[in-house]
Amino acid sequence: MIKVGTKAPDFALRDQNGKTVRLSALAGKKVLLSFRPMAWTAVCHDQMKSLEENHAQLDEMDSVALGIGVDSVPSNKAWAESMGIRNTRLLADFWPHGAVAGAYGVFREKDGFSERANIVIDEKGKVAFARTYPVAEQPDIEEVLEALRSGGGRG
Amino acid sequence: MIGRDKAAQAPDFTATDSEGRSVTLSDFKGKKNVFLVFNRGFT
Repeated sequence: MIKVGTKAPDFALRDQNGKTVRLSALAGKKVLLSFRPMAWTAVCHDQMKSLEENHAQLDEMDSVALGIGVDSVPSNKAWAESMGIRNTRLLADFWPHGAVAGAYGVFREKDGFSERANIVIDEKGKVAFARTYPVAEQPDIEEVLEALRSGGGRG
Repeated sequence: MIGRDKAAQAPDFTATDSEGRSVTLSDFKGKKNVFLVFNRGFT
């Protein structure tokens, strides 16, 4: 997994509406990359909903949360609609399959999907927090919000 | 594309269906004709 203090690899991926999100275009803001294994599963659902529920708070902290998974744009669109997600962008790391997860060291080669992981990138594009979770475990969003607040934390 | 110019042996495969069950092409051999539809989900 990518180490705290290193430069976050740039990427461009499409969100559920087909719009491209480029990490480097978000310089000056803190970015939370929330990797999750698979769309349409219970823990991933709660993980994405927690981003949506904290959208206003993230906005106040000049932070952007991006959900990332290997599912396709049309799958993410249907999934976002089913969850009532309107403010959180879900990015499709679909092709080359899991390439962004690979760049951040969280792609599970054997399974074909990513780890469950949260990575916080600071305003200057450096990794400030990085943590993986067991696939069946819901990440502690409060710990991540605290990392965004303090601009750092555990790695 | 396979079989376009001449009859070809269909490569065997095992994949998981929407209920999580394993499906193997060769299990249908001698029993049923198989029609494979490759689709893009949610489109």
